[in-house]
Parts: sequence; structure tokens; C-alpha cells
Amino acid sequence: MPLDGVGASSGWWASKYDVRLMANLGRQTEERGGGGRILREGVLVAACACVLVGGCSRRAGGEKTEPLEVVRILGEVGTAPGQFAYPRAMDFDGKYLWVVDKSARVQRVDAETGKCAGGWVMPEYLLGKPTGVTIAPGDDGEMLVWVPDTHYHRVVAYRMPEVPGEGVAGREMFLPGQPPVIAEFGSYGEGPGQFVYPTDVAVLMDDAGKKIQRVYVSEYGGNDRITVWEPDGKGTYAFAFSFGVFGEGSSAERIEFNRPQSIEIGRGGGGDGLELVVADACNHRIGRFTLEGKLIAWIGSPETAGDGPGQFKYPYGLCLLGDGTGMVAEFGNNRVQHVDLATGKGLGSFGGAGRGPGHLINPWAVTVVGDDVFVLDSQNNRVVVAQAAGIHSDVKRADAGWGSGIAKGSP
Amino acid sequence: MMGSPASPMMMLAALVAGPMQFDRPVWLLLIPICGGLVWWMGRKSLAGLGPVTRWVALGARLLVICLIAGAMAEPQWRTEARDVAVTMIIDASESIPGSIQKDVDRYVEEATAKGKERPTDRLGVVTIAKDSFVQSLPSDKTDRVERQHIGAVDGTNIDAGVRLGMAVVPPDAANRIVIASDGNETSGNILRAAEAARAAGIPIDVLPLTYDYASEVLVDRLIAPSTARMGENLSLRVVLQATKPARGRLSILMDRQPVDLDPDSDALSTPVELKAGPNVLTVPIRTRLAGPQKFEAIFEPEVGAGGQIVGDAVVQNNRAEAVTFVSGQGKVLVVREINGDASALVDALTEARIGTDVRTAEQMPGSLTELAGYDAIVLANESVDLFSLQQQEDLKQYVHDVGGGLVMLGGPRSFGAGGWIGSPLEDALPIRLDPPQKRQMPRGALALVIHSVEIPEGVFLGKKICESAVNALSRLDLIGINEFRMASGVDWVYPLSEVGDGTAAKRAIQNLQFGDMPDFAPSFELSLKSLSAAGAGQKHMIVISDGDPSPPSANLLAKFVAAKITVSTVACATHSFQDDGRMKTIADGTGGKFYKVDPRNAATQIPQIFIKEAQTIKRSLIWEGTPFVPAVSSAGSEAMRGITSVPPVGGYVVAADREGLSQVTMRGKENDPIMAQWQHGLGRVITYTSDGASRWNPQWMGWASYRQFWEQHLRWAMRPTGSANVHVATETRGDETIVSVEALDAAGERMNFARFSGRVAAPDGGGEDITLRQVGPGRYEGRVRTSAAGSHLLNLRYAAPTTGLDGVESVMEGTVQAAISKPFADEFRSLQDNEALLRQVAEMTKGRVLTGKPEVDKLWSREGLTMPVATTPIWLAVAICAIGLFVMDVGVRRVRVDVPLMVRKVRGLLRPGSVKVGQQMAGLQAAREKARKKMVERGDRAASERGSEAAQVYEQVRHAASAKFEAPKDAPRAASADAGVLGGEKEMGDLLGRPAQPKAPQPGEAPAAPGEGMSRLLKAKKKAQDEMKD
Repeated sequence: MPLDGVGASSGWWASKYDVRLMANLGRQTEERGGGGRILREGVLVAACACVLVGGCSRRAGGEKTEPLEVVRILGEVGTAPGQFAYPRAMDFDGKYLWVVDKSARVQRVDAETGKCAGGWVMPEYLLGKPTGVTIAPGDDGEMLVWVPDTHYHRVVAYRMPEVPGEGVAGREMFLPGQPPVIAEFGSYGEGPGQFVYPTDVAVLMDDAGKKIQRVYVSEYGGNDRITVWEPDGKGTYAFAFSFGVFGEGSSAERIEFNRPQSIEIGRGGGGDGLELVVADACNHRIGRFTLEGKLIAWIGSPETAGDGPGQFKYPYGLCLLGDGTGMVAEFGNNRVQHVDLATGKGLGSFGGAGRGPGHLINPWAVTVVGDDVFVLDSQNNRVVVAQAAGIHSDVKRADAGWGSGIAKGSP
Repeated sequence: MMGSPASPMMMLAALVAGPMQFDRPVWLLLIPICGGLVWWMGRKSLAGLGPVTRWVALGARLLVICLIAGAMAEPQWRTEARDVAVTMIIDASESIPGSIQKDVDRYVEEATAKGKERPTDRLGVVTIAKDSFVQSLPSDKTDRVERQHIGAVDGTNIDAGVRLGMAVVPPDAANRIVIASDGNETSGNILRAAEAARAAGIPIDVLPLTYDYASEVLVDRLIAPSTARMGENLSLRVVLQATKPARGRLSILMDRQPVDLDPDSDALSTPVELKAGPNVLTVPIRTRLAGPQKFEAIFEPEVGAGGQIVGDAVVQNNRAEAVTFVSGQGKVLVVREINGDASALVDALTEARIGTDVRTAEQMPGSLTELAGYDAIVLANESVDLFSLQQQEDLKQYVHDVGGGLVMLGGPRSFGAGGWIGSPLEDALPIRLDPPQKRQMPRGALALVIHSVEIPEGVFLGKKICESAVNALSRLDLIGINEFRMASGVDWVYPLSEVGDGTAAKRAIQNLQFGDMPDFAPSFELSLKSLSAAGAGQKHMIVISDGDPSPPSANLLAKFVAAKITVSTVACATHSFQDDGRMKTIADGTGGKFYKVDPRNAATQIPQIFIKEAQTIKRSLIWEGTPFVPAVSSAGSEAMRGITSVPPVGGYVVAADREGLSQVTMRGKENDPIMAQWQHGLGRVITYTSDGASRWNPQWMGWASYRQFWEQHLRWAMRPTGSANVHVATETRGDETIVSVEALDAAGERMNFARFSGRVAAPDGGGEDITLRQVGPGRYEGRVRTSAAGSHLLNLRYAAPTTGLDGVESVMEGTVQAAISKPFADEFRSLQDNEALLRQVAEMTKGRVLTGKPEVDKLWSREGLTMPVATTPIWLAVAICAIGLFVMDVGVRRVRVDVPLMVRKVRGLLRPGSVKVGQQMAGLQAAREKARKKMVERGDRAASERGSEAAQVYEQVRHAASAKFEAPKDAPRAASADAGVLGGEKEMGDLLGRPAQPKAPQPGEAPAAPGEGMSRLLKAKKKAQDEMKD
């Protein structure tokens, strides 16, 4: 789909209403000309024919990417509360979406209304802004917001702040500083316990869901790998092991990644056991691993990068649905794809490049809660809430804190 | 029907009826016309139907007509907006005191909190100064001003701000623009923008930001004589304006060096006491150097005990400057690099008593005024990247407007090989730097990989640097530009192809999206593929990025090395030194260069890097080989007087002839121009594409005419100096300056009938011609516009008839310079607001003058606003309804619905188990029995109704026959229905779709023979006729 000059389009910021109104204006102008009338009267005749032969039928969905069935759209471009400036990370805490954008804000947004419900600005952001966020419970049941602070080469876990009271509005909803830091680890480097551009965090809880067992962190920048951290019982985390190097090979002996942008732990495609699923973005594939870092399978490959079913182009966002399938946000294909993780088969794709309500431009993240699919439509500065047949997550709204990126179970 | 736009149908106004609007209401006339026709025709054609059916059918037909006519009338569904959007245009220029700017922010915040009438009312913010920026688009989420104004704040253009505000107002809300400003504009015309707003129906409310600097001192101007002689005592006059008596210190700088005004103390400045109003201070100065002397006067206000400035509010207007041209011996500036070889030329000029200053490009004077102190400038083997864009513009102006001479000497880093193609100076040269079209030469191929330029206005800069790279290439070179595109991923914005005239590439550059590139590899692979396949001698790639895409693999970089493609990387606004390291690795690994750009200087640095890098592929423009003697054509050239041949040259930079008045005096291989000259504007230019040094001209060093050759060329190019005594005085009045000249000739007599003409070079790179007219004996005057702040350089040439001491009449020619200084931007001259102008704007657009109290002003009030209406065409839906109804209309007339029978049938179907055949037969027999009873009853009535029986039978048969022949498909059903009426019974065959007979034989009767029915009818008819006769 051609999209040249989208940045310069006058309607790029317009609301749904504006789009309709502008489209109407254009149509009216067109209809003032003879061509418009011919069209209208032609359509009249065609409509007669259609009605007589039994009406028009809609083409059944096939392998083509269909526009999303939009339920609502949250956010718009800007830096006020409830607005986004190139959002690049998103997670769900049961009621609210957590969105991190290029204004360095970690913003909590009501998933129903799109209203801001607090947040904070990262204390340091001149070198760059975080590109990941994960919501998970901590050891004592408190909710944590894990932020891989990408350009500061560290991972920080914050205690989730309270939702501001009714009277608080505007920018006062953002904390004057940052919330209490529960854990922080990592520094720049390629050695054990160091990071170059951490991108995402996945948390493994114990069977009871009460205690953190492991924290998995993905990174890129030539140091593309997954590192695994374990709590030492004193409130700090220690490097356990890592796997993966920069490259594009698909060997099981030598795991290679090129920008693992998103990681998830959950039921992959192989049964009830937990897996670590990695969106290996610049290799255009999804990797399934055991929790110890052994390769189970690659889905897609650098060679087969494309926009067909089961193919990927820059898979940036990932969400496991719990039924052996996953949703993948493809930055390069401007779509979200429903994938069977066991077979690698594409079950359907939605979106397509565009500024319209059902279209996406460079989505960075996707999460599914119940029947709602939340897509972080980054270049359109919004979150698209949509529904699609067959896409359903076991995660319920009531399961506060059990959004994407975390799982219960033993390694 | 399909009338042209000017047809009367189209000219009728739209008709609004509730939520509906008809754009071509004339079609609605069809309703009464066709409706009447249908009713009239329906009276006869529908007469055969029952009364209810007839009315339903007639109603359906009329409705169909209404809908079709409605569809033709272009119906629109109207949706009226309910929100109000307020777009604040906030003055962020320096003329607004900081405290008032904070008040404005507070005002907006309070107004938003209290003034919105609906939660979805919107606020947008645009800040204005010299340029305007959208801070937030109109949104219900914006609740305050967040000032992130980038760019210069020493000017105010409210006009542009209002236009930008109008460009972002939402179409689905009623709009109001609010200007918060002092009304002092330094450029643009707010009234023009107000006209546009009035035409668009957007009222402009104004919030005048009033201030009156109670105590302020400004240096109004510094008056210095325009011209002076070396060693002359000048009298500088400093004019200061003070609103109240004030004290402070005054200092004077001459050529940036402070002048000691208070020899009795250690301080260099002198204390001054100012009275309210204008104060004129006179400072005597003695000139020490020839050339332009720049004077600056600076007032420092008194500082109080608490460190507070006393008596002055705006410090930007405490400085003024002036320039005096001190006459002296003419001088030539030779620009060469440290390792450059220009010593032979400099020696020759010194020997010829031409004063020379030798400097590097970096040491070159930074302003046009200082350049104007030289009579000619020599660029010896200098590449374009050594000069900033401003310096190149200055050089061009120096030649064209100031009348200075330029001599450009060749070498491996000069002309086309030095990237001068497409530079501003190229237009001033007497040769074209692109090689001749017919010339077969190895060409270069350049691929640009554009990722991001993450600085303010980075998109603009990114496009500019691509353009500068395109400009630096010659026509035959190849250029390609690729990036990560939002919709399609990595792709060529401009596929690797010939530059040509550059327009196609520049058009493509405007489509750059600066997408968020995940990894370098696809861009590198795309470039590698195209560059490898390109037929070019030099292949190069430039990458600009913030360094955070995934790096390319070592394997991929090795492919670049194998294909002899160098890659240079430009790191702009990287996230860390590690990103720099990755970018450097790419450059080092492929033999390219790595550049780290400081975002603060990116706007000047990056274009230079791109031009320099583009030169990498320009080495092909150099010819080097066995030395040969160039063909000399000295006819008509003063510079070549007496030169008939020159020593051999061993190399030169290939260029092409330029059309027009350029004269080529020396040619090389394939007739390439080596030496050329021409007059450009007021100045003269010489190009020599060989090097004038030992690399390409070793034999020239020992040539006997070497000094004569260069002396003649330099003297031809140098600006002529006259012998007249010409004094220039300038007086600035607003945006205009009056230039007056008093001229004496060599004999000391007043110089009459002279022609004075020239140009004024403006500090912003522009220029304007000026011609003086004689207003008195030896006195001339002219006017010129000088609106921009800074030094305007005036260069006048004159020619006057004169009679020498020997009585011979001749023409005396010469030039004279002067500088006109506008000390500071007008922004700082205003000591009071211009509320009257703002009030005028409000009045023009039916806006309001706000009080500054949010609760009173009610920014989101609906008063005076027209709510916009969105219209949605619904003709298709209406037309489809019409078609549906039409089908229904047919159905009403042709299909008779027997509800009780349908109910029975449905019951029968719903009855459990299959209905036995016997039961069915029993049902049929019961129905037949019932019908027979009815016949008997009718037979009883027959005696009284006998008179009309024949007519009834005749009518029934006719009706059945017509139904049969009119609608064959419906015939069985319709006919059976009629037969039911005729026979007084209903047949199951009706519902089962079987054809029913018009008249079924009754049980017990003998079956009627063929023709019996007809004879019965005829008999009945005859009987009826007989009765009628009786």
C-alpha cells in the first residue's frame, strides 16, 4: 500500500470525525464535476443490478491483511497527559495500559477511556528513552513496573505508584520524581551482568505466583543476547547465565539474534510447559526457547522475510495468548499477525499501512486481554483497541498484574 | 440532466430540511410532477386491485418517486459540531518581558481550567517570534502552555503565527484564535493575516500584553564618517536615548579591540551621565590602519547595591556599530592552506608592489565588510568544504555587489574536483564546473543512506544536506538515496541514477520520511547491489544516523571492501559513545571517514561534510599527463597583453565553457578552458584551472614572464580606485537610508555631471541597486532600503567627465565604499506596546479585546461563533431504498398474500410427524364440501341477481385471461387466485406452485368437453343481450 508523504499529510493528526469530514469535503468537491455525477448515476444503475441479483457480497477474508475491527482508539499526538509522542513500549496491568514514549514518560492510561492516570518522567533521558516496559507482581505482592532503560544500559523495577485522586489533573498527575526503585541492575558492557541497549524484560514467578524466580532481559546493539537474572534473597539480582550472540544463523548450537526486541514467557506451542519466546526483530523471526535457553524452534527466517502468512518483517512486539498461539506486532509490515507457535502457521493478519482507524504504521507492541487486542500504533501516536474472531487471551481483566511478559511456573 | 457546473440547476442554493440538506433541490420538483402522473395513471391501471391493495400500491409508487427524486437532489446528512477550539498565538519574542510571559502562561492555564463549556472543548498553542512553531495541536487534553520555542527570538512575525494557527484549526469545531502579544511586529503584516481569518470566518480575540519600560537606555546609533584617510582624526558620535536620567559607562571598540576612553584610570570605558531624552556623546579616534574600520559603542548600565541593573531593562539594545573606510594602498588577499604552495605567486605579487595578506580559509575575514577592505581575493587550490555557506555567499557578494576581484587558481582540490559545483560561487565564475556534455569521462557513484537527524528542524536539515550532496556532483555522476520508509521498509527514495540537472533527485528528496530504521543491513545491501552494478570509477556511500540501528555484519562490510566501495558515516545526536564507535567501525572497515557532529552546530557542519564527501567521487575531473603547451588566445584581453605563449602545463581540472561574456584565454586538451575571465556584476573574475604551482606548472617557476603574467591578471581583476576626493554620508530613516555624496575631482573642483551607481549588499545575503542623482554642485543623493539589522555595504562606481591640467577631456572613473549599520533588531527598539494595532485586528475579524481575567474573558464562549456542519452524502442509501420499494410495489400488485392460509400451512408444517395421504385427501374433501355449500347459497341468490350474471361471468373470464398473458411467471399463482374467486374456493396448488385451472370441474359433474366452456359463455352472453333488449 503506497503511503508516500504520510508525514506531510494534513490529516495525519485528525480524529476519526475529522477524517470523515475531510473525506466528505473531498467527495463533495469531486461531485461538483461531471465525473462525480457520472459515477453517482453509474452506481445507481449498478446498485439496482446488485439488488436485483441478490445484493453485494463481501469478499471473505483470506491471506490478505484485513483492517482491524476497531473498538476504540486511545491517545493522540502530543505531550499532554493522555497524548503520546512516538510511543514505543506498552504493557497492561489489568485495568490500565502502561505506555512509554519518546518524551521519556512512563504513562498509565485507562484502557477504557484513554485518560491518563498518572506516571512519571524517567529521571535521565538525554541519551535516549526506554523502549520497553513490563508489569509484574513483586515478591511481597506489590505491583512492579519493570523498565529496561535502553540507552542507559540498565533495568529498573519501580514500585507501581498509586492512581492520583479525583482532584488531580493535567501534568500534576505525573510524579515530581520517580517512584521508589525496588531493584536496579546492569551497566554498559558486553560482559556478564552488563547490557548494551536492553529492550525487554520477562518475569518468571514461582508456581504460587508469589515470588520472582527469574528475570529475563533481551538486548541488542551488537551484543544481541538474552541474559537471565535471579534474586539473591537480599532484594538484589545476580546474573545467572546468558545465551545468544549477534548474527543471523539458525543453528541450535550457536543461538544468534539480531535485535531481540520483545520477549515473553508462557505456553508456547509445545504443550503445557513454559517457554521463552523471542521476537528476533532484524532477523525477521520468532524464536522458541526452553527456559534454560535451548532452542525449540525458529518461526520464520531472514531469508523468508516477507508479508505472507507465517512470514515476518521486523517483529517488534509479542504477546502469547495462552492457547499455543501468539500475536506479533510487525513494525515493518505495519500489521499484527496471529501465529500458531507450534506449527509456525499464520492464522490471520490485521492492520496494513495507513492513517485510518483500522490501519497501523510501525507498530511496536501488542497485548491481548480477553477479547480486546491492544496495538501500540507508534507512528500514528495512538493505541488501537480492536477485536478479531478467534483472538482471545486467557488473561482476564480481573487478573490484575498478569499482563504480558510474565508467567508462573518452574524453570 | 448532467448539467455543466454553470447550468441553472447547479446554481440553485442548497435546501436544508432538518438534519437533511439537498444540494440540487431542483430535482425535488419531480415529486409533484411524477407523483401527479402516477396517481392519475394509477386510477385506471390499479383499478382492478382491492381498495387497500390499490392504496398501498399507489403509496409505494409515490414513495419510490420521492426517493428517486431525493437521491437525484444530492441529499446530505448534516452533523453539527458542538465543540469550540481556541488556538492561542503567544508572542515569545524578546520584546515581551519574562514576567509578562509567565503571566500569559498562567492566564491560559486558568482560562482552560475555568472557561471550557464542554469537556471536549479544545486548546491549541502556537508560539511566535521570528518564526512560528506549533506547541500543541488543538486538543481537549491540552491544558497549558509548554514553551519549547526553538529558533531566534529577536523578531516578531505575528502574521506568520496567525497563518500557522489557521492551518492547524480543527475542521470539526468552531474556531477562535487568540493573539497574546505586544503588537510590535518586525516582519510580516498582521492585517493581511486578519483579512485571511475574516474570510475564513475565524474571529481573532486579542490579549494585548501592555508594558511601558519606565527606565530604559538604548544606544540609538553610532555615527562615524563613511570614509577617511589614513591617520585622520575621526569624531565618533554616540546617540543614546534614555527614558529617565541614568548613569553608566560607555566603551568603544575599534576592530574588536577596546579603545582607552579613560586614560587616567585602569578602566577602558568612560563614565557617562544621561539625561532623559536623546544624549549625544562625541569621542575622538585616530585611524591607524587602512581598509574598513569597524567601531562599536557599548553602554553598560549602572549596577545597584544588590547586583540589580539600574535604569535599564533591555540589554540587547545597548550596542551600536559603524564602519569607516580608511583609504590606503590596495591589497590582495591570498587564501591558501598551510601545506598549499602559493609562495611563488605571493613573491611575484610582492615584487610587483601589490600588497598581499596570506591566510588560510579558516582565518579569512568573517564579514563582507572586512572582505571589502581587499581589492582582490586569490583562492589557491581551495576546496569548497573549507568555506562555510555564509563565506561562499560573502565571496559571491564581494564580487557582484562590492566590485572586488576574484582569482581562482586550480589544483587537485579546486573547481569541480573541490566540490565547487553547485556552490553559490559557481555562478560568479567564467567557466562551468560541470564537464562538457560530449566529454567521455569516468564518473562517480554516490549512495546516501538517510536514517535520522535528531535535532530541532532535523527533517528540514536532512533534506538540505541531501540537496547539497546532489549539488556537489556533476551532471554525469550517479546518485541514489535510500531510507527506511514507514509503509514499505527500506527502499530507494531516488534510485541510483544520473544526477542530470538535479531536479528529479531534489524532488525525490522532498519525499524523505526519516523512518525509524531498525537495522543498517537492508540499506547497506540495497546500496551495495546498486553501486556494484553501476559503471563508475569512484563508488562511495554516506550514512547519516544516530547510530542505534542494529549494526551491519562484518561479512557485509567485507563485501563493500571487495567491491571497492568506501563508506563514510556521519553520527548526529548519537545516544552514546558506543553508537559513535559502531559508526566509526563501519567507516574504518571500508576505508571511509567517520564524522561526529555536535548537534548544536549540525546545521552548518553536516552540509559541509556531505559536500566534502561528495568530492570523494569527483577525482575523475582531474586531467594529469604529459605536459603540453596550452593554446593561448590573448586578443582583446588586457590581462594577457604581451603574452603570446606560456610554458607547458602538466595537469588541470576539467571544466566547460560558459555561455555569455566570458573570454577564454588559454585552452587545454579537447579544447577545455584553462584560463578564462569575465566581469560579474561590479567585479571581475579570473579562473585558472591549472595550479600556478610546482605540481602541475613546474616549468612556470623559471618563466621570465611569470611576474608580468600574474601582475597583469591581478591588476585587471582588482577593484579600480579613483583619484577623486569623494565623501559619502548616510542617514538612516526607518527602513530607508539616504546616501549623499560630495565629490571633488583631482583638481579640487566640484565634480559635476558624474554618474554614480552601485549596489548595497545586505547582511542577509540580498542586495539592491542604487543610482544617485545630482542635487547640487558636486552633490549627489539616493535612497536605499536597509531593513535588516547588521552592516549593509554600499559600493558605488562613478564616471565623470573631467578636463586634465593639459586641457584634454577624459573620463574619470573610480569606486567608493561605505557601510550603513543598523545596530540591533527592531525588536529591541520598541519601548511601548502597540495595542492599537491589536484592537484593529479584533475589530476587523469581529473578535474581542480580552481583559486578561480568565473568568471574564470566557475563551470558549459560543458567542459570535458559527458551528461547522459536516455533511455526509446519503444518495446511495436513498437510491437503494427506492429500488427496494420498487420491487415491493410490484409485489403488492402481483402477489396476493393470504395470511390465514399461510398460517394454516405453517401449522401443517409444524405438526409433528408426516401428514398421511389419507388425511390430506380428507382435508381436500372437506374444503370441497365447504365450497359446494357456498355455491348452493349463491344459487339461492341467483334469481334476484340474474340480470347481471352474464356481465359478471364475462368480466371474470376477461380478468383471468389478462392475468395469464400479462405476467407469465406469476400467471399460475395469479390465475389460481382469480380462479379461487371465480369458483369460490382456494386450491392447495396455489401454495405449492402448481398451475391451477381457471375453472375446475365440480365433483359429480360430467367433465366438460373441450369448447363447452366457451359455448356456455357465449350462451350466457346472448342471454344477457336479449335481456338488455327487453
